[in-house]
Amino acid sequence: MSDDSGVAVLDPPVSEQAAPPPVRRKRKRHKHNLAGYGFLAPWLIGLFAFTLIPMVYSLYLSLTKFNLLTAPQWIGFENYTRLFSDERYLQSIKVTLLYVVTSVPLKLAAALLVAVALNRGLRALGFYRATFYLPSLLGASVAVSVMWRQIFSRDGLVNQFLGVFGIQGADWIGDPRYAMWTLVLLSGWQFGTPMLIFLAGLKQLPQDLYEAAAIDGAGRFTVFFKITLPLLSPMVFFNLVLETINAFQTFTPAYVISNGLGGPIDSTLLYTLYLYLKGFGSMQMGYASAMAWVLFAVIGLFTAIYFWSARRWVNYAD
Amino acid sequence: MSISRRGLFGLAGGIAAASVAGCGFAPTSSGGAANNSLTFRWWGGEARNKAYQSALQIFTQKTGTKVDAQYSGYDGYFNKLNTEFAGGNPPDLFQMDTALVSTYAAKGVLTDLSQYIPNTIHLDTLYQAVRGAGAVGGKTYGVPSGSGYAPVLYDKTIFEQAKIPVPADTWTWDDFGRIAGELSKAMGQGKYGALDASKDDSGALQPWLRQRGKDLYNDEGKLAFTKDDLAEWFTMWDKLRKAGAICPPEMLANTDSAAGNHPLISGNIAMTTGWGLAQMQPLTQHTLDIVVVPRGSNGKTGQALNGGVLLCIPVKSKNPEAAAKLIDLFVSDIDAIKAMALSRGIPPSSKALEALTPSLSAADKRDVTYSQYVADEVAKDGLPNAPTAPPGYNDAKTALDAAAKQVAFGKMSIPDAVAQYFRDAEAALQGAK
Repeated sequence: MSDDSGVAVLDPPVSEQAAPPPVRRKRKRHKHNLAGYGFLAPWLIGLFAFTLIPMVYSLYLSLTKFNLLTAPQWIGFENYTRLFSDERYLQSIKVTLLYVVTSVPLKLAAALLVAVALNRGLRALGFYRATFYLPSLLGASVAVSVMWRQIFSRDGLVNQFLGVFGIQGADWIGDPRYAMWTLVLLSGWQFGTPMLIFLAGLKQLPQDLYEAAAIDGAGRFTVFFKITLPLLSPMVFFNLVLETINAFQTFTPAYVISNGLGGPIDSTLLYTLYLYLKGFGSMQMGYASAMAWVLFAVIGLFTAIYFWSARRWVNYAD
Repeated sequence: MSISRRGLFGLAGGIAAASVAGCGFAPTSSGGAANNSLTFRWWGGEARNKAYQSALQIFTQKTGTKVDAQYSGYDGYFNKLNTEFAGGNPPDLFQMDTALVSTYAAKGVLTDLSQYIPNTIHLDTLYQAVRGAGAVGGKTYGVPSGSGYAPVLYDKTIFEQAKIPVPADTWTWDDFGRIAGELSKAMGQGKYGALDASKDDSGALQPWLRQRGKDLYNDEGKLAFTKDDLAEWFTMWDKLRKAGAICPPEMLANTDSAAGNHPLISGNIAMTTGWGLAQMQPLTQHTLDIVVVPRGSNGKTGQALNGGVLLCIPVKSKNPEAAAKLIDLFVSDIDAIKAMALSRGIPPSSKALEALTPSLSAADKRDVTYSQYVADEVAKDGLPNAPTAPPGYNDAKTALDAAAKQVAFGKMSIPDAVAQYFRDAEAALQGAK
């Protein structure tokens, strides 16, 4: 602060500013930067206090044995080597990959479908948009997961509905063959955010291409696959990256629907849920930190692959 | 487009901020330095919270010490506590799960309470069997605040409708299987006589092992039964499962909390281990009752009295003397005992019970007479007290749950599941030392 005011006192009169010496110019720029950093401070403090410092600390913890209560003991890379002989860990990777490769396409397809349906000059567009966004607004909340649990439980809404037709529904939450799909379905239902982005993208598409296609007598599907989808590919790319990262980090629905255990028989043991169970349940925070860093690397890898492949299929107008 | 997207991200940011704020930790015990106040943390339902608070009022009246009460549900309780311990700022006194006391004691964060016994904390009124509930390696780290035996809880209304006599106190595991089978037939398709208890360590497996002169753990914190024992246990349940006497494994999804979708409450099963009357009766119109866990062929119940919840003082407590006085209030102060009634389990002393009995509700009285009956039967068993659950107990429990369900879902053979359990449980117990 004192430095700031000192600079202010040294500030040259206006007349001198026409040809200021280089040193002064440097100071001047510095002063500008300082103000900028001042405005950035809230974000910077947040970045350091809540992201960067904890990340560095967790990197350190991942190389230790840490039970939360006594001081961490340095054990080098043991946590990382142990990971791949841990059967539950491998199971959690299997579950998570299955979740990511099914839920992301489902969600994006639902989002795109609804966005295209809404992009036809509906009168109450705002209303529909808000309605379809509502599930995402509730987001990964506990309330929605609890509701989902009720809907798919043995005596829940789905089975009552099936019962009307004389079908005895399965125990969707309790059966390891189905429990995972209730999570995928929940994720697919919350397509609001990518839908809004798609909708915004659709509104920007140049109409002349559509007019030309109409003159050429192109059918609806041709128009969609030859014009809409290629032009929309930057949005698809953006959503794909975001939703993949989100899917890898999914925690709440699996936690609530499986009562915090990842069951039945680890069929919903998503990566972050196992991480949580290891860190806070078994008090192996070092191990959990190592898991977090492996996840970080995997997400980074997926994102890198997306960006590398984007050159081949993402079509920027310019 | 940029506007809508910015709006979008602003919205997402707002939601994120709100959710972060929502799970933030409440500031704790910052003013605890003064010697006339102390922070006390526990988990509990509404009944326990009210009961504890009225006891704390009595404490403040009698000693002039103010108590900062911090309470929540069990979910996340230990996560939060661990974070406070890690930050060097634990509460001055807190409620502990009996099964976890050795885990914390091994890490050196709990005060040895021996220094306060018998001058400040009067343990002599406690039942002999629970006095050691908080003992680890010869030191007392916790004092029990309640006690109990895990019974078999059954739906009396279903028994009456099926015209099947309710289980007698003398019933054995063979009787259990037979009655469960009869119930399944009488109740109709999709309903079953009993819950699959092959995963229930303290409510079913422990008494079964103790009936055979074994136990879950020994004093050294190692498993006190063999692979053959566990294979026999799994086989017994597997036969019942295949005969349709107990529920299929899909039904186990809702059995971890007392709620309307627990199969006993939704009427899909008629008997379960591991639950008491007090938690479940309020949830159903049916009449529930309890009976002792099936006996061994030698007539022993094998029951082990558990200390319920313990009260512990962290090493870093800012006011350990007052905390010790508060512990004493819970175990020996008649006014406080009356104020708390059964909200914390059966009081762990005969003095407390005598003072309480006249004012109890019918269901509460049933709980009391049941536990007195079991206490007498346990005395007849002549078995040693069950050792304190060792460090790593929680992971060993999870391993049993996993192995039992692998068998139940038919994903693993019994020998494979037994091998997996022994590998995982032994690693957990070893690793926690």
